[in-house]
Amino acid sequence: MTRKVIFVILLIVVVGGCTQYTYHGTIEELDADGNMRTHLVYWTKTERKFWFDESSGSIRLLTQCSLRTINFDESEDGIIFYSTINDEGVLRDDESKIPEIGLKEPCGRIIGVKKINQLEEGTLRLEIYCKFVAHKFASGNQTYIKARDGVYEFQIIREESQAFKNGVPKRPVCP
Amino acid sequence: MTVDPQKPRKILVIHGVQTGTDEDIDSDQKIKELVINRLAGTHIQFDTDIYKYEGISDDALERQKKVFGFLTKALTCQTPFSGLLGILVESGVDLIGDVVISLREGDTASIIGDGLIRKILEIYDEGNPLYIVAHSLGTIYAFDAVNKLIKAENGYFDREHRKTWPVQAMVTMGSPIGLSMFGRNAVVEFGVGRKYFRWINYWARTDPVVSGSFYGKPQEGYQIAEKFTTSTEASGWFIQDRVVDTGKAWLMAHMSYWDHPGIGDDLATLITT
Repeated sequence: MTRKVIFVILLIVVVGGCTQYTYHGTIEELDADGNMRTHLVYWTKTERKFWFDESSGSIRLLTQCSLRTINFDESEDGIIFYSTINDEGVLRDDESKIPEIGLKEPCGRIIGVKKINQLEEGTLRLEIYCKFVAHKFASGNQTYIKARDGVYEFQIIREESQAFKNGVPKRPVCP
Repeated sequence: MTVDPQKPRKILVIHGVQTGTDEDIDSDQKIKELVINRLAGTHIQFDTDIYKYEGISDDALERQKKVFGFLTKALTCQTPFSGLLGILVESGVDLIGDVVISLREGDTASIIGDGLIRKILEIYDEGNPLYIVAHSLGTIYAFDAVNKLIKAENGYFDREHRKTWPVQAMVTMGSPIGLSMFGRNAVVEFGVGRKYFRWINYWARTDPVVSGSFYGKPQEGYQIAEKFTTSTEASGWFIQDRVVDTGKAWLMAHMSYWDHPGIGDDLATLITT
């Protein structure tokens, strides 16, 4: 009997209301190749009337004229862009060169918060320490926002969307 | 035989548990639309293909379907709901049967697994860099196929030369691979070298196929596939778990990976690197 009640409640929750929000913002800044580009960040949140609120596990950063998607993943250590096979470290806080960076080491970080669901509209601050490293299997432009000894600030707005499929902004179009 | 990085990339889609027949499955088209949609006009050369195994599963389940169909008719022939019940029973046998086939690892699972490896090697022979996108139960077959190919002593997956890799990277979505009932908990190591095989595992917190909770109790934490990582230098795997917010819950979340914008954006990067 208890299970049936739980099941009915679950059905109400599933069928019942939830609101989907997209958080996004852009800035004009140099990419690692020295070109002035538009850079977009976005993440999503689902707020439910009867159940827990949910946010995406990553904040994504897309650069105009580039095929690269950077993920700042929520983890136990914060919201971090971890290095992949495509990244090499170029800066530390003291601006020294990092000749080689291993996999899954911080290449960037969201400043000031540990969880994505704590983020709201307003200023999002992030740092980047790496750049794309070319290799034989890379095709197209994979450049992203330039690593620098300083913070980037995005002004984030929140928009309600009917479905994420069409409600999430796309990669800025290349002129 | 090696792949040519200059050739168009190919995404091979492997579907999960399914009702209906092979003709009803169009997951490859969904992935193609997703990537093109998220590229917003930027052109990259790629195509999608699909490995379908529903026909093999259906053939193996023919007898069970007949038995359950006969029982349903015998028990409900006088009720106005017998038609609907028949459809439900048939779908139930179809879905549960797919999982049972995979768990038993018998002849049918082997036929499906071998067929997938043949499909991968066909694409490899054509020289196109291949990227796997698998969903649900299909992730188990994909995981096994890649690991078998790494283990095979045919010259595939020479760690220092990606051109020898029949699969360049693997994406899994809504995978039950973290559940103990499937018995997968380790990857086959490549051996010492500098290149890494990438595996990205996307999962939604309320997806019951991921958590194993029928009621969709939210799964905590961040790691499922990353637990398979070995820290030795010989590993060769770069595994990332990525939590997604689909805007849906429970089984609807399980079916919502196909048009998730974030997965589309990530795929554009993955198949061009």
